[in-house]
Amino acid sequence: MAPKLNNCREVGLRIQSYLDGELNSDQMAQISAHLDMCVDCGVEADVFRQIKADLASQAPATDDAALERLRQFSQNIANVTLDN
Amino acid sequence: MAPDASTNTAAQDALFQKYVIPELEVMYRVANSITRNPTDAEDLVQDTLLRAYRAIERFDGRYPRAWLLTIMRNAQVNRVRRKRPELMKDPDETMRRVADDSVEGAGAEEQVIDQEFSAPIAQALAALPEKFRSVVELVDLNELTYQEAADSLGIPVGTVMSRLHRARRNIRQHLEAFPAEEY
Repeated sequence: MAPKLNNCREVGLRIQSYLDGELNSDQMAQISAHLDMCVDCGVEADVFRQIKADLASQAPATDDAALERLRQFSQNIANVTLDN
Repeated sequence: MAPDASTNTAAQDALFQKYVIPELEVMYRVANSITRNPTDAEDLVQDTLLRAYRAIERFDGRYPRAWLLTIMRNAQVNRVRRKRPELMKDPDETMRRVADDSVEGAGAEEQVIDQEFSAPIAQALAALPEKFRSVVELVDLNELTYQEAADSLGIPVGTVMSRLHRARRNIRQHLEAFPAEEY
């Protein structure tokens, strides 16, 4: 039987998977409930949430020229319709 | 080399349109993370597209992104093997090379310049060992799921998770040790 995720240790082990949306719905709900009540775990979640947001901001800009070449290459392979 | 158009089937084309074309941008972004070289990334995506087209009629339609990323990873393994024929004898070493090959791309000078002018989060990311950085890039920058990142790198989901979580903890420590106002 899966452990109840209602103590800081268990939540701490899964906090990043929770923020990534990689837990099942029951686990997500249990951790969400814990975060609503526990200030320390709430702060911990906020720290990793901010790190994730900062990392996401580092995503390189899309190379439109390269993508266009790949779309053209795809058209050379197959008879496909390309939406830009 | 593109397949002979005369051998194409309408069924292949329709499946390619449905499952492959929508993933082009993700494929290119992931290829950049894997190769760390835009030219190599484009070549790798082209190779993947050709392989996907040839195999599309055998694809069951489930999880097309995961399917394509697995093809891409296998294509990259073959590319590394072609560069280093001695790796043909050791599959584990080949996979390690796939993960580490890109390190050669960034020279020391380039890394110093990057660190000089980039935000603390970028410096923290750049300071990670390659095998940790690649997982962060796939999940946090390219928004792949753990499973998709695992397929891209040819490693178990549990390894993706442990590397990712450890990497973020390292980033946190880096940011605490070098807060933004010091830059």
